[in-house]
Amino acid sequence: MASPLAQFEISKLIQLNVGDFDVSFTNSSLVMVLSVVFILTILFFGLKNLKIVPSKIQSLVELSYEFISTMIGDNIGKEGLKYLPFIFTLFFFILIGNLIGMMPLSFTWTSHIIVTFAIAFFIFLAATFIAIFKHGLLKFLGFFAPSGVPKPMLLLLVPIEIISYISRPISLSVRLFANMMAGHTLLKVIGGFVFVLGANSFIIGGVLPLAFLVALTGLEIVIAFLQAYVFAILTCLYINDAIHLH
Amino acid sequence: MQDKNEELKKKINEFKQNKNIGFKSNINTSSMIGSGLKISIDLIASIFVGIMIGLGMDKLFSTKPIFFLIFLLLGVAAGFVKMYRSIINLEKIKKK
Repeated sequence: MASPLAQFEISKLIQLNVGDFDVSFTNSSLVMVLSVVFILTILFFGLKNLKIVPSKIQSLVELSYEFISTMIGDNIGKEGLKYLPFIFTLFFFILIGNLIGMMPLSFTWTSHIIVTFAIAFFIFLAATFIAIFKHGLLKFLGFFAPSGVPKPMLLLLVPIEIISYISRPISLSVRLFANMMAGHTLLKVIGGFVFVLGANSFIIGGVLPLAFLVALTGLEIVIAFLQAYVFAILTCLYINDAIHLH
Repeated sequence: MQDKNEELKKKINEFKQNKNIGFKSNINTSSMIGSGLKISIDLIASIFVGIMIGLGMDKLFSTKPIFFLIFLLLGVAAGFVKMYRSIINLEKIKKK
């Protein structure tokens, strides 16, 4: 039996080098490209023949637009609509990535910390730059000093604020990565139980873990949705903090 | 038939007026789930960042455990501050 962690192994499909950097096209990149193609296909067919009474696929696209715009409206407000394309892309990229990972024999690129961290760090940088450009550097630094606090307390509070600001990309990326990685490892482990117990007890022993596996697969699909949602909503919150510094 | 048309027109107009691009969601439960999931990892991430800053400064000034300890405590404090804030936020949403 392969190790439960074997599913996360990266394999190079096309070897590519730019200078000293290894930019090979891996199975991870392949699944990323597949998710993008999948999203674009749905959007393309959803927006092809627009009708007042939408077809199924058109209403799917419309609902997803409404979903993201409501999320932005709730968490940022009207000025957040500028960032709708970004958050829409982010949400569906991660969602489809998670869901494609649920398919047998495929690969979950969201279960790699470097990928989620790169996305989260980019969001962190973007939010910081939005805040600086919108409010100026001084006001942005004032974000770390809560108002109405006695001066000596600032000595303690400013580092705390800075630490909690820097921890944002880490908590954002670790949450997605840990959930996906743990879920898929667990599925594989329980799957191993099905095989081993079933083989040693004339199939009877494998029934219980198999039932478990089915339930866990459902749970994992829910988690795939939830984590994409949480990722998008936290991005909204960070952009909200950047737009309305307080 | 005429009446029905009028009624429908009225309804469409009403809908158009308070449309505001779908902003009028009264379901805040979804963002509550988000806040709930957020809390757990925030605590750990803050401690981790504190430790990393502390270790980095210790390496820079070669003062081994001093900054590590200071920033470890600050990280723990930051984690709890974040947790506290998330819970206050949750309460606010609940009251709405």
